[in-house]
Formats: sequence, structure tokens, C-alpha cells
Amino acid sequence: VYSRLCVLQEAVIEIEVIERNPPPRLADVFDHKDWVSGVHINTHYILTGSYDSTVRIWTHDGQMKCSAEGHTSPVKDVVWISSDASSSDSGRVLFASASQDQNVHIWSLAESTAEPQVEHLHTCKGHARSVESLAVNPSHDKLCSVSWDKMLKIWSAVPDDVMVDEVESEDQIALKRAKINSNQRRATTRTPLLTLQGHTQPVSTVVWPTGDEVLSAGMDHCIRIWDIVSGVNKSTLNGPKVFHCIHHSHLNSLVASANSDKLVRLWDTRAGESSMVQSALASHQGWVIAVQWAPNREHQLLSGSYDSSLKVWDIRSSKLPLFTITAHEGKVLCLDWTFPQLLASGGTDSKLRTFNFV
Amino acid sequence: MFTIRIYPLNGVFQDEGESGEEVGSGEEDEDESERFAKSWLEAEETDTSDEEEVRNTVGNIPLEWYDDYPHLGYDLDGKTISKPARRDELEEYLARMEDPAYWRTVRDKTTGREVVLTQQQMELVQRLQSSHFPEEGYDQYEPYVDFFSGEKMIHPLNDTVKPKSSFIPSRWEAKQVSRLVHAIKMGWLKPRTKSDRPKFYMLWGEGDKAEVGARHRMHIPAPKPPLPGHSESYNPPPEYLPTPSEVKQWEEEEEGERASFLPHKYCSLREVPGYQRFIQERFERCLDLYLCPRQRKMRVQVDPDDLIPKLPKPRDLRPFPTNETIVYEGHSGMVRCVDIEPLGQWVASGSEDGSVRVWEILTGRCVKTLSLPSPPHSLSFSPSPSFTLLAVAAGGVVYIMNHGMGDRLLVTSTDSRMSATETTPTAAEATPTTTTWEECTAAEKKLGFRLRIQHDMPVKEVVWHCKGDYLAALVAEESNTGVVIHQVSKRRSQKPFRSVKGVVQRIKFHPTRPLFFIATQTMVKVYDLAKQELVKKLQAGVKWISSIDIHPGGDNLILGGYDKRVCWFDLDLSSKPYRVIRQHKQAVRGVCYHPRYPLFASCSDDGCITICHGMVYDDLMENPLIVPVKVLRGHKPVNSLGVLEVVFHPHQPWLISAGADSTLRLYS
Repeated sequence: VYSRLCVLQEAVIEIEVIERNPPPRLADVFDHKDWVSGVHINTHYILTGSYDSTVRIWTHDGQMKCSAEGHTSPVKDVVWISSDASSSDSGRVLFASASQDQNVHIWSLAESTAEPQVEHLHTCKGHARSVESLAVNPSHDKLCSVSWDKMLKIWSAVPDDVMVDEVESEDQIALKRAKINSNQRRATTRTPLLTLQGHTQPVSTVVWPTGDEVLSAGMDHCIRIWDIVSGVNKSTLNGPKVFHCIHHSHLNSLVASANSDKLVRLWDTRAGESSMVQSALASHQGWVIAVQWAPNREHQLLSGSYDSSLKVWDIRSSKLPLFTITAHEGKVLCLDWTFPQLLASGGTDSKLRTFNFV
Repeated sequence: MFTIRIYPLNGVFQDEGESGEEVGSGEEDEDESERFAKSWLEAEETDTSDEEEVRNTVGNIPLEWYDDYPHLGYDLDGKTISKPARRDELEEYLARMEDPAYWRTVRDKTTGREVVLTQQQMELVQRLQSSHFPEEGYDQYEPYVDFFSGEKMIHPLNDTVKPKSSFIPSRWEAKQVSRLVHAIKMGWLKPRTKSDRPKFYMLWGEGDKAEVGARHRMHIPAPKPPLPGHSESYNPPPEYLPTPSEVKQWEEEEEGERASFLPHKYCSLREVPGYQRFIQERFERCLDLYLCPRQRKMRVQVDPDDLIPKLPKPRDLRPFPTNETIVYEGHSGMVRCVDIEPLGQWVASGSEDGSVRVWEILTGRCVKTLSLPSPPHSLSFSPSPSFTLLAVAAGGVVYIMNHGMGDRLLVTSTDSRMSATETTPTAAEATPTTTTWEECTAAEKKLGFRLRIQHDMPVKEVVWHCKGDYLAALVAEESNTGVVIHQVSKRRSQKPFRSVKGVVQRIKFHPTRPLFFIATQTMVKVYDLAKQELVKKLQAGVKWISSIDIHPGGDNLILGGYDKRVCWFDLDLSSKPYRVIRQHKQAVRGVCYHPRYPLFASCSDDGCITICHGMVYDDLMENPLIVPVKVLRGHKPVNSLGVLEVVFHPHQPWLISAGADSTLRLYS
């Protein structure tokens, strides 16, 4: 009787426990001579591009290893082509830099020697205005650049000598070796493999998420998805504002975008043209200029704004960021979160700051 | 229940007189009214029974009428009743002395005889005199027997059985009904039509009614006198009562000047005396009403919101610049002029500190600083896509410089084309004497300057033609102004307008057609450059034009004035302003249209920039829609100068403003 009177109802409440991370701690400050406009981290080094037309390579603990000078105008973006020295056969790491002098330079960093040496391998000529952004394909052999001339250009990122090894004959290899040995090697000019036209306004940002798909966005307020094989603009997502930066997450396949307003917008490119913004993260006080997904966490992303702050977001809470870091005294221009434990951002106070984030 | 009984006194007295003492107690029980009726009905009978009875038959008339006659009237036989001989004084006296019944002897006026009242009659008289009922023993409180009560009886009074006819329908009624039905069928009987005449109506026509109606309608009620307040109460709260000093002051004041009423406290309403000033106040009120003629005020019942034109909401008109985004700092003097490169990556500004700076728009980076010998007044990027030229007007010189931004190939090709025209021999011939074209020195060339065009007067403004070959310069020295048009490719100058009346303020090329706009102080003149004639004159709605811009479509233009106004002209519509916008509190310094979006902006010395939505429709029948959407602040006025020039980004809804606080600001 008693049990009939008191009907016990059991409900299961699922409680999701999210581990609370300690806030990012300032690790190092890297002084530059001019504004820092591009940063990319790999396992050993930090690559930065600056408005003094120089590309610099730093170790993670703040020592400048070497610098590469060759651009004649401010560097706008830098990118490691091969992520690690061990992955490339010749014991060197390739990286590329894009500049307002309309060129993309491909450099190599020889790690094998005690003193790292930077070698200017190729100059990619073809853009008619300043090159704004670079992206490397997942197999690390192609490079995509976008520019103010409204075009995307795909370049080969494989150094000539490697290609030569595969194709050319023994004599020519000997000739090349002789050239290398005589140290008279000069950077060769490259022409684009493919030019993608379709943007009606300057293009400001590009990502290369999968082997044959490139996403680019710019001042015509839309994200265009390109098929590299056929060179066709597959689909277009129209946004409300100018895109400054987009980044694709390989964990959740969402695209985060930094627009010329205070929001970080999230897009699902798979849903086609009809579905627009998934959600918007609002907390910044100025233009959001850069955005990047966490390399190892599905829901987290980092955004940097002209209000001189960096914000770490969990996309499940769109109102409040997880952490807000006042990183710079001026505007934030670039940021990077390729290396999971290290956040980096460069700004108009000519400093690159790195933050440890566990 | 009272019963009023009327006694025919004559008859009674006669009865009494006839029956004398013998009429006694037997007759008293008889009902008076019965006796009264009997006395009339059986008049004959009584007459016959009593021979002594003398009856006057003149009726109920005043007997004074017979005063002058010897008789008193007529008896039943028609014979005169003679007045009996009256007793003289002595006889009267003797009778009074001797006759014991004298005091109850009265004279019957109708017969003139003397009647001695009986005991019964005396009692009656006495009862009447003492206001009692004349009938002795009459019980006015005897219980009332209600024979015909309102109570409905349930049982019949009699026990007869009702006839059958009272249960069956009447045959006669059926016959009547069938007759009526037949009459209705035949159409003889019709339902009574309701007469349209009102039940009550004006007998004497409608005119009166209209007049009365009009008078009622025009009735203006008198203004109501103010209602009495607490101080007029008979028992006012103590705070309304005057203090003794106030009372004294009130008493000292003149009658007309002081308040008419002094509050006074009474403990109860019973103690309130009559109001002394009542009549006087009524009179004053009447005077007020009489001396103050009333007038009907025709008030239009209009909701003020209805008068405001229906405009779309600003949030539906997006995009337009809303926030200050980037501040470009670096100039040390106020920034006078600003222009954006056609592709929208760079912005050039000229400042009072004598420098021209080129900035990267997106980051706020100053990429180039050029110093000039005199502060630049105006600068303009060449709109041509194949030249990378920037014209800067500083002092009396227009510098044509290759800014070196943008495509490297274009920069070099521009340089090569510029040096190619250098050798043209015709250049010197076509140039009028007032302007000289000079090649810049090597040091200047290194900075980017290519050509200098020397004028005889300071150059105030320089504008490019849309093709990028022609360049118009406005030269001005005090009130002496002129317009020079330069052709860069052939390096020659001409003055197509020999003398423009008035002081030229601004000049502008039409974006598509070969038209040239010259804004003088109060007028805009439109010249056709191909036909070389004046096409149109626009009467500016402002007192002193400060700035002009032409809609990219080419059919509308806006003017800004130093008298705080911005005027929109529709060139096809009229030579008067289509719309005047008064949004600024200070002189308007600059106006500009957006090349792509339906926006225009005006900046003013109060440090504000007003963004308006200005939609121009392709349909010629539709007028432009102008909605102010946003006021942008940010610039601080310095020396009563605020924002000096604004320019829209070529392909984004962004605005760059040049302020007197030596900054440029980007609003997005």
C-alpha cells in the first residue's frame, strides 16, 4: 500500500562536466621593429611577419633565430608550408610570406646546421595588388594566396629541386648540385598554377580545409567555396559585412569568421547557401580582425579585435567568452593557435605576445 | 372615513319650523340625506300637508335684489310674498325684554318671517360653532367595512352552472374573422401604413427650426467661473486662514487691489452668516460676461503624428556607417582634405601642417608622408584605372604625383606614359601664360612628384574628370576666382570660363556626361563642355555654398551651406531645392554621395557627421527618398572648426572624415 501511494519517479539528469581551464598566462613578449601582421607557430619555431617587410623566426622561448629579408613592402601574412622538419626529407622547413609588394615568397629554413639558415627559394609573381592571406593545402604541396586584385592564385609549394629529383635526369641534378655548392643560387620566379576569379571585391582571407576545396572571403561580403580541381566557385555564402578572417575547424567543420563589426560569426558550409550564420559570438568592442579555432578542442576558438583584446570562446556560450586577454596596447592584427598549448598574437604595438594555455 | 353631509338649511329650518316641537326624537334617527331627498321628492306632499307653509320660489339668488321691492319673491301660486312689517325700535326692545324666546328667534330671509329655533336646532348650531360634527354621536372612527375589496375571490358568488355557449367558440366571431380575412384577400383591407409625419412637429414650417438649430450650434457657453477652493470653505484648514498681520494688511489695502475675499473660520455651518458680497459678485460676473465678448475659435482636430510624413525606419535602411572604428592619428595640424583611392585600399589626407599622408584604410597605418612647401588645400586621386596619379593643390601649385600604391605594373606604366608626354612639343603652345607646366626635380621625383603646374593665384580645389585625363583647378585670391582645366596627357591648360559672375566656391565634373558644375556663393551653374554653353542655373537654397557633390547617377546633387543647411536638388525636377535638410547646428563644411549605396553624408563645424539615406529611383515619376539615418560624433571641434571633409569608401558603407582635431576617422 505504501509503495502505491508514493510513486517514486526517477529522472536521469545528464550533467556534462567541462574541465575548467586556467586562464592563459603571458609567456613571452617578442619585440619587433614594426607592427606584427602575421604569425604562425609550428612545433619548434614561431614565424612572424612584420610591417618592416621582414619575416622573423623565433624559438618558442622568445629567442630570434633568424630573419628573412626580401620583401619591399609590409608583410601581410606568413605560413609554414611543412609543419615539421622531420616531415620533409631534406631536413629543412619551408614557409611562405605574403606582402603588399604583390609577391609571395617561399623560403626554406635549414635546421640541420647549428645556425639556422634561411634561403629564399621562390618568388611567386602574379598578383596585381597586395597579397593579403595565404593558405596551405593539407598535403603541404600547394599554396593559395588571395589579394586586393580580387583573385585567388594557387601556387606550387614544392621546391624546384625536389621536383627535379623526381623528374629530371642525372646530369641536370649534378648541375643543380653544383649550383647549390657554389652558393650562387637565386630565387626563381614562379607563376600561378591556377587563378580563381569570381570575387567582386578584394579578397582578404583564405582557408584550405580539404584537398580540393578552398574557402575565401573578402570585401564583397561573401564566403566563396572553390573546387580546386575544376576551378569553379561551388557555392557562395552571403554575409552582412566585410570578412577580415575566416577559419575552418577540422574538428567540427564549422567556419568562424571575423567581420567588420563586433561579432564572431559561425557558418556551416555544408548546409549550402540557404543556411546562414549558425550563431554569433558578441563581446568584442571593436572590429574583430582575426579568428582561429583551437587545434585540439572542438568547441573553442580564439578571436582578436581592434579593441586590443583576445578572447577565447566556447561556442556553446555565445554571450560570454571563456577568457578575455588584453594582449596589446594597440590593435590586434594577427593571432595563432596552431600549437595547442600556445596562443600568439601580434599587434600594432610592434610586439608579439605568446600565452601558455593548458 | 369621513362623510360630508350637506344640509339645505332653508329646508331644514322650514321642516323644523313646520314640524315645530312635535318633531322630536323620532325624526332624529332618520338619515339626514334621506330626509333631504324626501324633502325634495315629496315637496308636493309636504306643501299640501302644511298650509302655513310659505315658499319663496325665486331660487337661490341674492335676496338683496329685492331690496328695492315691496315683496320678497313669489310663492308657489305665483303671488308675491310681501315683506312683513318690521318692528320698530320700541317694539324690538319690548320683545327683547319680554319674550323669553327672543334670543333664539331669527328672521327667515326668504320669507321675512321670524322663526324661533327649537332646542334641537340650537344644539346643532352650537355643535357647528364648536367645530364638531353636526350629527350628535357620529363616530368618525367606526370600523370600515370594505365591501368591494381588491382581493380576488376564488369561489363564484353564485352556484349556477356556466352555459355551454361560454365554452364553444363564438360563431359570430368566426363570421367576423372570415369577413376580415376575405377583405384582406380581396385587397380591401390593408395594414395601416405608418405615417411618416412625426408625432410632434413644428407647426409653422422648417425655417424656425433651422434658425434655432444654428443658434444652438453657435452657442458659446460662458466661461466657467473658477470653482471655490479650500480658502472659500466656511471651515478652512488652518493653513488657509490669514494671520492677523495679513488681515491688517488686507484691511489697509484698497478695495479694488486686495483680494475680494478673506477666509474665515466658522465652527459649524449653522453659524455662517449671509454672504455680504453675493449681489456684488453676481454683478461683477455679469459685467465680466458682458464686457468680454466671446468668440468661437475654430480648432482643427489633427493628430500631430499624422502630419509627420511616413518614413521608413533607419534600421530597415542598412547598411550605413554607425560606429567609429579606426582613428588615423599622425597629422599635427587640422586635416583639410581627404580622398580615397578608387579601389579603396588607401586614403590620402592633406593637413595644415604642410604634409600629405597616405594611410592603409583597414589598419590605420600611415604608409607615406610627404611634406609640401605650403599646406595642401585639396587633393584628389585620379579615377582612371590605368593611372596611379594623385593631384595635390598646395599654394599656387598643383602637383601631379605618382603615389606608387596599387599595382606595380600600373605604377611603372604610369611613369613611362608621363615621361612620354614630356617630349610633346605642342605643350608650350597650348598653355596660357598664367599657368606653367614644370617637370619636378629629381629629389621631388624620388618622393613621387612628377609634374607641377604653377598658377598665378592660390589653388583652392582640384578635381579630376571621370576619365582621368582632365583636371580642373579652382584658383582664388580673395574675390577674384577662376577655373583652369588641365589636360594631363597633353600638358596644356585652358580657361574655358572667361569670367564667372560671383565668387566661385566649388567646382565639379559630372560623373558621366560632359557637364561642369560651378558653385558660386548662392548659385550653381551647369556648363556643357562639349557645346561650350551654360545649360542650367540652380538657385541654391543656402546663403553661402560651402560644398557640392553630384549623385553618381548624375541627376541629383547636394549642396552644403555655411548657413547650416544641406540642399538636395533634382536636376530634372526644378532649379529650386527638392529638399532642405537642417540637421546641423553649425556651418556645413562638406557633403558627399556614396558611389554605390544610396547614402550621402554631410559634415559640419559642430563635429557631427549626418548620414542620410538618399534613394534615387530609376522610375522618373518617383521622387528621391531622403531619410536621415545617423549622426556620427567623434571629432572634437577645434577653434570652432569641426569636420572639414568627408568621403565615402568606394565599395563599402564606410565613411572617412577629416577633422580639425588633426585626425581622420573611419566610421563603419
